[in-house]
Amino acid sequence: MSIMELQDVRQVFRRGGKEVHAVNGVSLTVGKGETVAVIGESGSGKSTLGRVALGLIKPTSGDVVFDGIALGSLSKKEMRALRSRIQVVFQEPYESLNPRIKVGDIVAEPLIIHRPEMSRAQRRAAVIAMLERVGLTAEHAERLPRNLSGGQQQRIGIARAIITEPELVVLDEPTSSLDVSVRARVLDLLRDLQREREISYVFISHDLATVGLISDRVAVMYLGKVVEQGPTQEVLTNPRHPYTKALLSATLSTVVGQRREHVPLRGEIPNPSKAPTKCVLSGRCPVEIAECSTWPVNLLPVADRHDVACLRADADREPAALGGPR
Amino acid sequence: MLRVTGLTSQFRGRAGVVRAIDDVTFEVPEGEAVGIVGETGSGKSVTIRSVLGLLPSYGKVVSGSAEFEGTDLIRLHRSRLREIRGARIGFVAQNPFGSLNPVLSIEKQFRNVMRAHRRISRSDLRDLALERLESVQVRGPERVLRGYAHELSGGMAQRVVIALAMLHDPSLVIADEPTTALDVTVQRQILDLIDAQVKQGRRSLLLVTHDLGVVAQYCHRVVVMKSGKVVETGLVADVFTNPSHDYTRQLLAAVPPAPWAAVPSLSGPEVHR
Repeated sequence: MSIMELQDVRQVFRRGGKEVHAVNGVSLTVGKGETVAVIGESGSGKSTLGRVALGLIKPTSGDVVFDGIALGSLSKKEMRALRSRIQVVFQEPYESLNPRIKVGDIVAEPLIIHRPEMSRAQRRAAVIAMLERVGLTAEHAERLPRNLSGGQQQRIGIARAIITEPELVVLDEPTSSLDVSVRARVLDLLRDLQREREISYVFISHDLATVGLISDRVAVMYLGKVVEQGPTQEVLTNPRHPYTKALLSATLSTVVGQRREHVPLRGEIPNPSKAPTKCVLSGRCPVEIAECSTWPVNLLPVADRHDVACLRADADREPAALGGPR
Repeated sequence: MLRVTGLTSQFRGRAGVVRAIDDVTFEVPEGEAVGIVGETGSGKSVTIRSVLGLLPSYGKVVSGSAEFEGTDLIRLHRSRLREIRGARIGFVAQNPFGSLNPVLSIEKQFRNVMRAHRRISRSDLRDLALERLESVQVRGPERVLRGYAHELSGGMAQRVVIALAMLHDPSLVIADEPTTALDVTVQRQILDLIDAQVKQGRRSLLLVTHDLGVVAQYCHRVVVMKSGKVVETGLVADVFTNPSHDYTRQLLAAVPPAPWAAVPSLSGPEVHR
């Protein structure tokens, strides 16, 4: 059963007469209780995709279907009601918390909006229970965000997101600004909460190591397109797209001497000022052939549930197939 | 090359005086790369800023020394320290756009850095700058030289900063989280570049990072810091395989293994150029 489906989503921003093609036809399905990671560097469109999934921006084209409901068909009021079921946790915990409001009131706020029938006492009890669930205490409710550590602040962000019992939570780089020792514990918390409540996660990240720990499936985005997707272990241990390989080879091991051959990409991610007319990696790719720059390359299955958008996906497997499009 | 002994610095704040680093001692031997690792607030950045005389106005070194090529940097007059910084010690900071002047052309910044330490004609300087930009793999160096920082991507800007830091052929390079602000695929390029520049010039490197993987792959020695104190130092090969301090052990355990490390053969299916 899927809880959310993104169908051929495109997002074009217009800024001062210029176009930015942030997302170029992305389809993604998130199952109930599943964690789907969206991996990419800055400019890949991963955060825009997250905002589309949250219903915060309306895609230029394509549909977002949540639990059978097309978000595009909803009125403002209906959309607001649905928000309690789709929540978000941001990267910078401190910046996403109002610095003048006590922690207890921050966590209570979604309840005031979405559960107006609750009494003050009920709300208070729910907030304390939630704080305790994320590893804090009733005493923290009286503090201001700045008097908490980064890890505690992110726990508040998580408590605020799940207090309305959402079915889907978009986690936008939730652990990127945390120190490693804190990061592991926050990931544990997210995993436990998912198991208890069958929440689905869309986990947006640039860090493959973190994604390897928490996600069931992964979609690798580059320049507004998904270039590779599949079960996390399969993609991480058997990457087929040169971009995924480059990302993986950039992750350094803490084991001395354990080094992966560097897959170099030329230059840096270009500005997405037009819709792609060729493979998105064309110009940077180490295995590019002439056909790569003639048309956009779409996702094709290479194994069970493993899709890759690359004409050279088999390049290192079947030497006989080199040099020609399939 | 660099010997830091008992370095202690304080910050004056609303809450009174805070000891930011306490009795920090370590060495950077000639030709070696030393990594300082630690989490937020461990004092790793304060340590190198103390050494370089770059503490903010509310910070102060209260005791200790930092001996570099026979001179104690801590006791040096500011103008003498400025001469050493830039000429003998190259500094690469985290944010390249903070290091570059937004209103001066890149060429003008090369000129300023050059003239701070040496007289050189305009055309000689131009040739040298072009050569140095090429050596850090900046594409279209003529265009970059004419242009301004804001026209560069993060990775290109950091390459320019590295070229500027190497301009006077320093014997020691100090880098403070030089890739943290950059994208993952660019990070590896910049680390390889710093590594190559240090090795080619037979320089020593002091690298501050929160990323244990960077230390494991690019450094000979490591200094592990926590709450302003050094908890462990030694060869990377020893400390990472057999940490003697609990904190180092915890830190190493918290880092997930490289996601590709599960691949049985390390060489794996490779992409060839």
